[in-house]
Amino acid sequence: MKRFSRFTWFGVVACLLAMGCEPEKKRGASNVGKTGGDGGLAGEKPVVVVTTTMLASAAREIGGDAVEVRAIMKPGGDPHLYQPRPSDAKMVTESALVITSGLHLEGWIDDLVRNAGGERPVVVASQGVEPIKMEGSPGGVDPHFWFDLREWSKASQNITDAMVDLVGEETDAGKDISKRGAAYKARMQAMHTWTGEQLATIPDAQRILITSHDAFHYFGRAYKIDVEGIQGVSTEQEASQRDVANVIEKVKSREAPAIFVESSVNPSLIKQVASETGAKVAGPLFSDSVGTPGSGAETFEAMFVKNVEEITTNLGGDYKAFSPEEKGK
Amino acid sequence: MSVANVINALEIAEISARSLEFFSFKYAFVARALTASILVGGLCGAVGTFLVLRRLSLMGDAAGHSTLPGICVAFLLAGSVSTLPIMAGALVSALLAAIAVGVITRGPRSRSDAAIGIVLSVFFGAGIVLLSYIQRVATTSYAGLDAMLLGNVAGISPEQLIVLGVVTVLLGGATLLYLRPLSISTFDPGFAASVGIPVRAIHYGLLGALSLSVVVSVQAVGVVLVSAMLIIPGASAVYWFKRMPGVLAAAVGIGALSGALGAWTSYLFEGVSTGPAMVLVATTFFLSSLAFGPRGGLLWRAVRRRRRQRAMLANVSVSATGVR
Amino acid sequence: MSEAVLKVSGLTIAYDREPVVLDFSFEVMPGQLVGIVGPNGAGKSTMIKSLVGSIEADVGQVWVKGIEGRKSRRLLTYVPQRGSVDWDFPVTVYDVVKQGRYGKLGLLGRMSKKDRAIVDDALEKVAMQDFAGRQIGELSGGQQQRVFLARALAQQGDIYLLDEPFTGVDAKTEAAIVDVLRELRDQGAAVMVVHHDLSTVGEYFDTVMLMNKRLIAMGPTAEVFSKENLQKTYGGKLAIFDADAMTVVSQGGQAR
Repeated sequence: MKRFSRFTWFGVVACLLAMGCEPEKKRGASNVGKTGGDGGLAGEKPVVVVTTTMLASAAREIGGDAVEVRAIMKPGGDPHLYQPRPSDAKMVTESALVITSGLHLEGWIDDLVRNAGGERPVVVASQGVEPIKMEGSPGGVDPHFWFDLREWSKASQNITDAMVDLVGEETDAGKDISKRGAAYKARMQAMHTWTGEQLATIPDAQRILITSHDAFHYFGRAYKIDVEGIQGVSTEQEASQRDVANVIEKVKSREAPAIFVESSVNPSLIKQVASETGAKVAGPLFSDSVGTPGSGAETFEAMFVKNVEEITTNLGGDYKAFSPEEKGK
Repeated sequence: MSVANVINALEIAEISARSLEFFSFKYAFVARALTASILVGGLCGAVGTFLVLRRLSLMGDAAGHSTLPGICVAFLLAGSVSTLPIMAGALVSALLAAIAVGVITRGPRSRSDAAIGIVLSVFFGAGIVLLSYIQRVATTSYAGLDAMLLGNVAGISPEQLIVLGVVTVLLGGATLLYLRPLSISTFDPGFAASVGIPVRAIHYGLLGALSLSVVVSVQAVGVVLVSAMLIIPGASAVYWFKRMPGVLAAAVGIGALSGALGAWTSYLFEGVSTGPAMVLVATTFFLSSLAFGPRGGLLWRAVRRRRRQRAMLANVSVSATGVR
Repeated sequence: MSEAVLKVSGLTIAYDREPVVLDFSFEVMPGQLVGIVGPNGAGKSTMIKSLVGSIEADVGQVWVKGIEGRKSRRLLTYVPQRGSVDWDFPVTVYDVVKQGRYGKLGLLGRMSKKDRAIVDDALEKVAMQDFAGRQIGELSGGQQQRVFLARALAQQGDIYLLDEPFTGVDAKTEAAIVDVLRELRDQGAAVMVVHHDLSTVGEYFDTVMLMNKRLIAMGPTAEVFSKENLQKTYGGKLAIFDADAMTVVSQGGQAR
């Protein structure tokens, strides 16, 4: 009887250990046919590894068929809290170029790149972006720069340049990438203007954007709207009751018509504020990730447009859909 | 954001004003958070006292950590982060861990600390594996699963509070009802069996109560810190009282007070989550007990040692107490 | 005239396939003070523990006052070895003796005047009434043993099983305890004591049980406590200094 329980126990432990191995194998299986190692060629296309899903969206549009883009984060994930896995390091090993968001968003990327070994350019998309400093934290910056489309355009230029360097400026692929990059940049500019117009229709008194965490300061700066988050710039910071109380006061004093949950953050605190103030819960806004399949926000453009729609309509603005003339592809 | 900065930045007046707000229950969510913190502190204090006295403190740690795989599995099956399935999943995996430990520690050659450590690591490790699996494949948002690791009582809903209240009343009542058999079986299991106390059932019953307490408490303090709330009140209480009713009451009191003060601190300051605040308050209680408690506290031991030395020097014979 | 108050038949207990108690059968009458002796590891404690229900026996039957089954074990009064107790546990001397009333009081019963009198009486019998408020861990070995005896007395049973009550106890306490046991025996109780000191067997016990996994012999001390029985029990590792077997020194025979 005692021997029996010992073997069962051993079996349970072994099974749990095996569970840890399985996802690795799945990854490996899906990579069959694509050679790994240095050089980072997937068949013929160079592999570009990016961190966030926003970068993935831009990189895929700009890169087109010339490159294979792989993202470490999955839709719905929170890059502040993400824990990288060995398979992510493997992904980096098999890449020819790594693009990160920067501004300390991904604390985990440096080790990942270092552990991957080999040589590859690591490009920071936010190079040249004018950062917003975090209050109360000396030297700290807010990483959510993609919500200011002028800055995002700069980033898209960085992405374009990096990929052109990768495939060669004079090649056909390089020229195609340059063309698509320019088109992307132009469209972002158009979207920027459009966003400003939409938000301008919100009555002054109601220009207040309340969200789960402080992800929208760049948005506020660019489109002239006040923002307030319950949790700080990083979701790693736990919100205290004080933080919640402060937001409740803000909602009451500004008589905000709606407050917004985010797709990648626990909604319970926003709901708490809503029940105290009677404000409407709107959203979800897509802050640190594009939307999951079926959400209507699967690309960066879709995500941004959806955010603008959600914000404008719920704060009493007059929303008109985005229809750029020079929309590519 | 260091505490020193915060204290410099706020005037005493500001703190007083906020405290007044806190106790006047300006907001419903604050009243809920305070109630939940007190209940969690008291419940964990009561159940944890028996863990401490039975030298099963590590089991408190194991129970907290063992909820993680159940939470993840519940999320994968239910496809959302809603309360009921998550709690059910947490309870199932905590019970499985408790059974595993119970079975192992009953055996003749058991090393209970090693067994508990293994169960803790295996379950928590499995939980982390599942968590990263979820990060990879989730098609619905898993926002908030990470929150289980640290917990946030500020987000507690009325439904969650009701569940917590019901569980506290049930387990509190059970503890009082079974206080005698619990005490006797902890003190002298051989004698307990001889007077008909079902020692094994009590063992498993306690582990079951532990699992239930942990499941309702993780929403306030998270899986990592719940073991602190289980162990610290009981460990502190034994420095003050030499009989069970006193020890139990003190543990419940220390736990509940830690909860209240932790909630109050979280209300006063930005960025201080209630769970860690509760644990810090509880730790302060423990350190005070360790230093000043009359039953084995450092201060009293030093005082008694001095008295003994003085008595010996004065050639008065030491009374026959305290010498085994 | 008197029926056996305790009857055991074919008791066998094994840890892990090794039998520790083998095919044990005996009877105890009221008014007997029985010493149980045997080398280390002979299964003495194990046998006692299985009688009171703290350990499961693999085979065997036990009748207490003619009744078989688990419930009847409650009629036995057990004083365990002091080693298995948690001395840091927050209980006072009074609390420990009060535990003896648990059989009657149950989960929530309040102590009646009679219960209180029984507890006070038990404490007086062992001369520990002045220590009632002390935490149990503060006492000396001898004092602790007296408290456990008081607890047994408070149970008001009439079949006593004591496991090595004289270990780590001073001579004065030992004498006091023996007096109490004799008094119990004289009042008609049956008392069984696992005993380690062969030199006092003749003095304390009217009946002796020699065991080494199996029952070697049981009966009146004068008859059964003989050199050959001792050799059988201890496997020959014994030095006997007096043919009367009154002063016998064991040289630590080990169980086979």
